[in-house]
Amino acid sequence: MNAITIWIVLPLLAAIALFFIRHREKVMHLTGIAITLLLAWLAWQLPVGEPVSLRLWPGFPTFRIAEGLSFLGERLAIDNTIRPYVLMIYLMTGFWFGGAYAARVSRNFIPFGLSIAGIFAATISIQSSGYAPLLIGINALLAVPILTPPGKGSIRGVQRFIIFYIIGACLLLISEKWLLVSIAGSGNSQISKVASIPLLTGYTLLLAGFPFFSWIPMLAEESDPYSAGFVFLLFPTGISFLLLNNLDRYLMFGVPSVIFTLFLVIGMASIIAGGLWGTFEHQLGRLLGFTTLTQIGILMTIIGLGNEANQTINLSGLLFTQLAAMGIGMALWAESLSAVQSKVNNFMLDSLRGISYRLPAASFCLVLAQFSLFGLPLLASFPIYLILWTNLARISLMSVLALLLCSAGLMSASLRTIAVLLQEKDGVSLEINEDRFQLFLLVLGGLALLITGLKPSWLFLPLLQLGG
Amino acid sequence: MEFERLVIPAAILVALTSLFQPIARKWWINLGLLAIQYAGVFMLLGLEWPLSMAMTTLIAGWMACVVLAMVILGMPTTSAADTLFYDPQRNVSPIFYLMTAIFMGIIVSSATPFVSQWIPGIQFYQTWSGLILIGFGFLRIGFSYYPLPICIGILTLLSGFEILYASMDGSLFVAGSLAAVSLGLALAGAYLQVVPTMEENR
Repeated sequence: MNAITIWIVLPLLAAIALFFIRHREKVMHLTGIAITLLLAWLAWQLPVGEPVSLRLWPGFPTFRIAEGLSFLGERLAIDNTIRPYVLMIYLMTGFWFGGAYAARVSRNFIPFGLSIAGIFAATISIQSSGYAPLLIGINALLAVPILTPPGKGSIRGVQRFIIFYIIGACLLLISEKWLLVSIAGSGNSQISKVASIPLLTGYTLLLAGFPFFSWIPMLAEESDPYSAGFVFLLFPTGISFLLLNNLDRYLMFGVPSVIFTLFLVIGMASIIAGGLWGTFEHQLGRLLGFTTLTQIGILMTIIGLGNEANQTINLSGLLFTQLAAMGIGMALWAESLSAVQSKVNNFMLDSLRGISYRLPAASFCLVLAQFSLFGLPLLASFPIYLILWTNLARISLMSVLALLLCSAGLMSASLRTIAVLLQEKDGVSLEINEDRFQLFLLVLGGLALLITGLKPSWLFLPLLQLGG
Repeated sequence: MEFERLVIPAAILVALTSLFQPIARKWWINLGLLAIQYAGVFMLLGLEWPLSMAMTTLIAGWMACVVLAMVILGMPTTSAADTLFYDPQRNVSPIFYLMTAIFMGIIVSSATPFVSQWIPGIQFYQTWSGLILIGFGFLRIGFSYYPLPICIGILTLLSGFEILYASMDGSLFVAGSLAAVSLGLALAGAYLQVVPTMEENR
């Protein structure tokens, strides 16, 4: 048995099989969830390259999972250092699949979502990682059927998403090649300095950092919120893992360490841009988009802090923690919006007056998710904000002040949302219109946010250890 | 095959085809020019890559043209298809486009010697045609509204990148993946074109 077969080939084959049974929705959803969670469990429990004994019965033979195989002349390998990344990719995919049925996503979602997860696993497993951007380009194309289900009219956000990803992938490819050329030319520092420009631009394009974020609010407005949320979560996850996996190699190849500072600056600019635009946004889908931008900004800032705080930060662990908090918050927001979508045509605040009397659980969870993602104390994202503020304060107090102002601005957007959702219309009485499964997921998500906020060590400590 | 002698004709071919695509008002002229452009790209790639690998790009490019043509042939009228490529209400005037293209040509020509320095082993005309395709691809994307012409713009941009990248890397994986991306782009463009008219599945 081979690690590549388990975590890349099998999910891709399963995705193809699920595509052909997409008319049997419940079966497809359950199978998709089971496969992703099983793959995550295997990534957690199954050591690669070491003898494994299942002991199903006395004398059951031990076996060994081989690391990799060759494909078109390139070696793909998943070793024990990459396993935590693979675990996170499948865990987050399985987590998002869990709410997909209740969110009434299109039938393309599970098969294409699973194939995207499989290709992201391939992206981080490719040994000459200079070719990984090609796989990211393919992934962007696979996301198209998820983001534009049949019958969808507006597609401008998706077009821009594809354009940015193809350009970003090309820039990363060329920068990787330049770095290799610089090494071949006995460390030509001039080439590696030039290569850092497309490298930084490429990653910023792929992560949708400032100023290349315009497709995020467009997509959040046009697409189904749950499907868009999946792309907003999984793509930055896969790309930040690729970046993290290669950071040391880039520095070894002569990329100046100032690139960390630039990631920090771009990350902070993304947080500020998301905060500013979000403060004045009146459409809850677009607000989710701007919130995503702030979360991506936090991801980039964490990566940027890697150099500033050097030995004190467990970069992978912190990234996993941020992704977990972001994932729970965004999933709850997207699930709530999906519930709202069944009652109203659009997410403009004017159309949502008094909706909390018809959809109380969805409205409550929507606001709770907003508060968490904006950094309200005692909710899931607050510990991350706290670490961020503490570390940034060592560099510049003004930057912390700017971030606090952005959080305050976004909080005001949340308060505006509450005011609109609670506006009573004449003769309206409180009634629960969410279906049972939706209600169950919303309550579960809300509790997850509260418990993670009140007792962060329960979720975040294992994640920090996983990253360490 | 002797590709050395074909460099200059191929460079002129890709420049002219990518230049005139956005002002062609008929869909079949657009796709025909794209197919001819891929022949030029094939000649330029043949300088660096083995014939079989360069052929992969050519075949993938032509298959992309066929995919786009099939979508158009499925449309109710040919005039509706032509509107996708030239919509008087949305497209800029051809004169403005040509002026922008000339400006782009000047920028590319002046940047070519500089870029050639940074790409080991590349010939001047390869760099020039690669940059021209990238530049005109950007113009096409910027001046288009509908998915099909935007898709053609991205394919043009990607072809330009392939020409620049080919001199640095001759891996089979790269050739295969770039061909897959080109085909995937055509399929995505075709899907985005027809998706508003498809029946909702949930």
